[in-house]
Amino acid sequence: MNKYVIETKQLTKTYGEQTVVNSVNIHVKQGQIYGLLGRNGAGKTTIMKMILGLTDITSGEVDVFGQNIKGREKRVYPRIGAIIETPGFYPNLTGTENLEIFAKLRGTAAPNAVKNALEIVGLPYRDKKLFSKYSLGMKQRLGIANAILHDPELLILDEPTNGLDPIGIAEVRDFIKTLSIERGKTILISSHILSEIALLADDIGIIDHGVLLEENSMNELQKRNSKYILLQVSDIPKTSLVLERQFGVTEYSVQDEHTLRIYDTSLDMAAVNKALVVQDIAVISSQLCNDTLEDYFKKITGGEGIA
Amino acid sequence: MDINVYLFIVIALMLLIIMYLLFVLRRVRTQLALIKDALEDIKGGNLNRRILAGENDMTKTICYDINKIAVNSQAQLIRQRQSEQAYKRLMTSLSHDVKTPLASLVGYLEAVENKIVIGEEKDEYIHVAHEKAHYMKSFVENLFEWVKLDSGEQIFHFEKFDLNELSRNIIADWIPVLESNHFEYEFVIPETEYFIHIDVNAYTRVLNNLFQNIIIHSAGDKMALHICEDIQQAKIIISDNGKGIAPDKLPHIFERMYQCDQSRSAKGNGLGLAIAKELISVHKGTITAENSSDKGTVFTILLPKAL
Repeated sequence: MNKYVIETKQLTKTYGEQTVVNSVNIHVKQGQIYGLLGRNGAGKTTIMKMILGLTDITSGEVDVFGQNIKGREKRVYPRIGAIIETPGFYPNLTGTENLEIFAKLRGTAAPNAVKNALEIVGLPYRDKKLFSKYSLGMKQRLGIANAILHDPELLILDEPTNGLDPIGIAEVRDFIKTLSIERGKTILISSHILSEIALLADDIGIIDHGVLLEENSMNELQKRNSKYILLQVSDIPKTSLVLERQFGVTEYSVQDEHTLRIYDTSLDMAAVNKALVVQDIAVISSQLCNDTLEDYFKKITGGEGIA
Repeated sequence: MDINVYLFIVIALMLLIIMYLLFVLRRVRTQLALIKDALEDIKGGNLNRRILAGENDMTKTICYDINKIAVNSQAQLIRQRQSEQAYKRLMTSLSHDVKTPLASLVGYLEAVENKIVIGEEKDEYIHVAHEKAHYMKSFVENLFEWVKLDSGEQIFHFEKFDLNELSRNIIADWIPVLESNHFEYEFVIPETEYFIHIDVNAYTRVLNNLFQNIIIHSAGDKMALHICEDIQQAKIIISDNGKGIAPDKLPHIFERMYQCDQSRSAKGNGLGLAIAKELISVHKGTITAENSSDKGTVFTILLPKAL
């Protein structure tokens, strides 16, 4: 079921002495949003460019749709939609006219392709406004409309929310999410903003200085991101009674026969342990989970953090 | 002489036509190869695959039709998968939501049973246990109602009713509850009759859920219900003066199992608003929530007069 739409094997890019991408293996699953997270200059764009054949691969391989891309470019690229940096639109034409040119060049998958693409990103169809008069947000939207014009299976979006205001960011995030959930698109997206990736991605790859530090599912990472006290005890009903009566705790949940999660992390655990022992309840373990994603990224990037 | 020239022209023309036909044939051939490729892929289960066609391609309509088929069956598949996932989520949260109150209920009853508490304290314990049992009862009822709604098994009986009279009847039952919870209230309902096609039980349920929501969650002490009607629709506005809903939470409150408190505290079950929304949409109406400009939350229901 979860076959990889993109898989890179030891993907490397060097410019002279400098290695900008170093043996990166990323695995983008079908129908998922994969977030490449890293600071500016970490190598995210270079990876995307190598996947799209916009820059040469120094060494390593790229498989797209389950096969090595080499020699199959002409067949593969029509199935991908991408925005890498600012797309080249004609400034003296309207958005609709620009897209119509691209539709003619690439072919379309359905009638009214231009109209539909504009609708998805929330731009007016057949508007008189010239591209040169577009705001940054509108330009980004048109870029995305162009990327989805031919209804591709795979979208590669390099910092699609760059330069947008907060409302614009939320809107773009929403329709990227919709494309994935309601249309089953596979999406590779890059960002240097942790919170943005956290809201969007199913899987995440963290790039730092050209090296993939970690690749994991967002769910797995979120688990490490919660604040709670994990309490393992011999008797759950008795423990919940002690918590409620003696400590006034209402925010807790029972995980299984012996495990409780308490969401109030300011609780005095020494006192709780003591009270439990007095009641003849064995405390097997109590553990404070207090990690935030931010802390975690700081840890794995070696203290520098991301965002 | 003349004949030779004619002959030459005819031959040249024929050659041109043959070359054109050969060109068209080649073009159609490559397109057929593309279509074959894509069909193979779609047959293998990749419903995301699209076939691109140029504006003047002979195969354009065939390509578009194949794409349409793929799009439609994919949409169906995605809907199915979504409901499966939702169901799974429901089961997990269900198990947690029942486990926690059940554990503490057992804790209270054990304490009574083992005579750890006596006299007044014992009575209080029994009272708390009773409340928790009630909570669980209503939770399970809600849950079943939700599942029934969600799977489309609920049967509705639409009848012509006077919305104003119906609303007054429902409110009458709430007045003592509001008073015992120290809520001030204001009801503005037109004296005229307003007949509307409505399922009485469903409408009652919606108002009940909203009232309950205000009493449990708003933390205010005033609430109001206004009804205004025109030829097309009725507008029911229910507001409170409580703490309001955080803006980032607002878009999610009608999703099932969504509660503003990250941990599920004992009250409420995260289903009331989801049920309300579902019931209103059965009436082809809408329900929205927003924070009022000064304080509290405003719920607005729009019901069309004719179904």
